[in-house]
Amino acid sequence: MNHKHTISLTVNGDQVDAIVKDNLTLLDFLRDQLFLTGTKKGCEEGECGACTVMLDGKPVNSCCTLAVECDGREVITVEGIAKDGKLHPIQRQFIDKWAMQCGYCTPGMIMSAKALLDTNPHPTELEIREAIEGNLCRCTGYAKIVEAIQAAAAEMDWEEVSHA
Amino acid sequence: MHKDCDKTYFKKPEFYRLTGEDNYVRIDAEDKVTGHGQYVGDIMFPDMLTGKMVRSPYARAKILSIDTSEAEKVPGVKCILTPKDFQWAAKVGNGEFAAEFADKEVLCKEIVRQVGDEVAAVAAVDEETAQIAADLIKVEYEVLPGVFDPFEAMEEGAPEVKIGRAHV
Repeated sequence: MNHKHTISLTVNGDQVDAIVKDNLTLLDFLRDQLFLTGTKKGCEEGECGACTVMLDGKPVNSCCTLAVECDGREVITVEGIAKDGKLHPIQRQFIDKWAMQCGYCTPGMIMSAKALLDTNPHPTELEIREAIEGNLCRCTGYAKIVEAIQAAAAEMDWEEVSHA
Repeated sequence: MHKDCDKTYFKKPEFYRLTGEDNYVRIDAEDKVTGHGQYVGDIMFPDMLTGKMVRSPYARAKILSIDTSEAEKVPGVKCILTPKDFQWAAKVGNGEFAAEFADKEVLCKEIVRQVGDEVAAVAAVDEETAQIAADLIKVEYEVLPGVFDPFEAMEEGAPEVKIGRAHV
């Protein structure tokens, strides 16, 4: 038997109220009910990381998170990190450094990278590789992705200095 | 050496427009990093149905019967296809192109030839409903000996997985 729950959460800064089945994953909730299809559906069992979103600032596999668990919490997806039509430095550097080919792992990679840089603005290469170890890429390889995240860290650092 | 060899034209690096250059941006790059690009799985239409296949769990078996009566009762199921719906259809595969597809049917009528061979299909209002209905379709099989090894397949009297063509 499926029970229904009313949940109220923040998605990309917007308040969302919804009625969800108790077996609905956060991934299906985002994709099918909110039409935020930037969060990709890969393995649906927590292996590939294509579905990574930020839940209260931490990266989680949304395929292994139930929508009811997110009641009262804050979700950020890849659609929510560009501000006022301006790409986030991580997004910009992914383009500049050619860190994508098919692009299917990219949203998950970007969310993992954002969660890292939010808590650790000056990561070492090892820390970056650890942060994206839950994200599988099958075409670009990881070198360009690591390069892009390093460049984004430098750019965000520079932005901070220039605004101060 | 051929006398015209020295006339071979090699394109000079400065004439390459794309290779080795990085001063242009892929046209789909922004869509991909913002999540706005649509992959096939991201496309949704009004009244869209989701399909699920019923597949063979056996490497080689004879299909005795397919019972869809329980699956048809599931609310939200719009269509169930079985091999009976494809009596008119030709084989999917072209034997001249690829021997392994020569016996391939839209849905297997009599014999399944590999684990995962399609036996029936369900279309329903959502994925969950389609899967519930697909699980309720009862297929009776008579399990036949399979071939799991190329050397086994080459032996005399090995089971003919492809009809009329042993050793395939």
